[in-house]
Amino acid sequence: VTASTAPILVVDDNALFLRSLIRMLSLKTSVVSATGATEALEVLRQTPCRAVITDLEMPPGMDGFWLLGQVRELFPEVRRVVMSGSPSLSRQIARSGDLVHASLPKPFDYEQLLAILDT
Amino acid sequence: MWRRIKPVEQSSMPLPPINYREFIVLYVDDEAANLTAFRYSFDDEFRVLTAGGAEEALKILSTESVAVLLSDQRMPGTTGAELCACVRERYPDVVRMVVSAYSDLAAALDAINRGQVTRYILKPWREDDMAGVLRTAIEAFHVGRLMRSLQTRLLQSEQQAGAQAAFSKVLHELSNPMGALRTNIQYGVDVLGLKGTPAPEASGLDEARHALADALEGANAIKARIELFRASGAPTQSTGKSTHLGRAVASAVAIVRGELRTRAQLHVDEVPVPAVAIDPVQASQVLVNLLLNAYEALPEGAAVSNRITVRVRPSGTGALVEVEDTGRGIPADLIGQIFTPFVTLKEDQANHGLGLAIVREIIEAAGGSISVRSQQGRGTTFFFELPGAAEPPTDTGAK
Repeated sequence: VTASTAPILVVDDNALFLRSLIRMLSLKTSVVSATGATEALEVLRQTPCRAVITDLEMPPGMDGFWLLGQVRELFPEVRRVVMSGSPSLSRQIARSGDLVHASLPKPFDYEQLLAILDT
Repeated sequence: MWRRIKPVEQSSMPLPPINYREFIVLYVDDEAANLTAFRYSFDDEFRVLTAGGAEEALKILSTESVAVLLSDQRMPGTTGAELCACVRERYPDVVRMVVSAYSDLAAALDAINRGQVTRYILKPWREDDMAGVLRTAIEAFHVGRLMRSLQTRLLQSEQQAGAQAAFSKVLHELSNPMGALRTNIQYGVDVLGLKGTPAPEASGLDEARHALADALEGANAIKARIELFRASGAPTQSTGKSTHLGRAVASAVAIVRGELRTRAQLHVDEVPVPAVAIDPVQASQVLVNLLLNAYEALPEGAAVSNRITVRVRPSGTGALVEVEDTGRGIPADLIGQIFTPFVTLKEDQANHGLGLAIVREIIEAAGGSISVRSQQGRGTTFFFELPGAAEPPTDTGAK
């Protein structure tokens, strides 16, 4: 269902960061985006994606962890990647088990991200 | 006839060995012979100080770190219990005991019940019993002091955790604009071909322009953060300069008026006051912080009924300033902490809980004081007082 040509879904509530990342990723792959968890699930329903990269710090109750939990359940074949700017969240990521396939600290190198997506 | 002093219960908590000589026992009795006898009996084991009356005892307490106070109950003009009550007020850590004759027992018991006295000892007592009681009292004092130092350390570690949380918040705030900045520069480099093969197609160029604009936006956001922190960390020591408060208010209002207007009516109510001993820039910083604080306490969408009032009045040699808002007020359990760094009531990501801490630091460095009164749901008023300036402001047109 999720061929390597399928787009990547990028989720972040920071508009500047989101459009910058989309611009960059668009050079190498097709990208769809969402600014929140519910919107992200809606996008996944419409467009099969090969991976979702989400920010963790989003509104309480519907943060990145919640989104990935939903993705694992509803779209288990989609690769789950998180990005986070908070050092305090790294422990939570470590404890999250198979919920998170890979994580990136913000700010990250673009090559880092591509490497993770191609794995 | 020697009475046995009731044996002291053995403490179950193992204590590190105590050198009882390091602790001061203050014995108070109006009979000089008793003082001499007491010193003679216990000088070897404890550091004994004696006083012939309550007044002398209080004088010793004010200069010496007394661990145990042992006072005769019956003294001319006062009682041991009264002295203990007074000591409890001023030096609550001191272990207080009263020596009483059987005839005064009722008064001594009453003092214990009211918490003024830790323990009474019936006269006449045996020397070895008294030594045991004093050792236990010193242990109690020692453990109490240990507990307080542990509490202090706990508080410090909590403050450290608070600072760490604030630091983590700052990192998070910088990560988005920094990420955008780097990504867009990288994009420009890739697309415009500074690295590898040049491939400037028309559409690529157009997108590169957008990338450049976004890079600038990221850089500006980082700059704004840095400026905020520079302001937070700006020196708050007094510069020795003085200020006309009317001007400081006007300049602060000019800075924040645009923001305030969207949410409240601002009233400035001032009468002429003497120049005050504070740096003009710091005075503006204080007022801007308090005005923004008031602004943030007000609900949105009620710009007509929300009010912020600034009052300036003479006080002492200087002036008193009030900044009042009709906002949500400060919860009673937080009001004692609002001047503490990193304590904030605001959910806002941009808020670090440093504003009021800085305000207090500046005011106090200028020799002034600040306080707050708040009623939940009704509003908050900050009051700060500044001493008059020794010399008038020297800046142009100061009059």
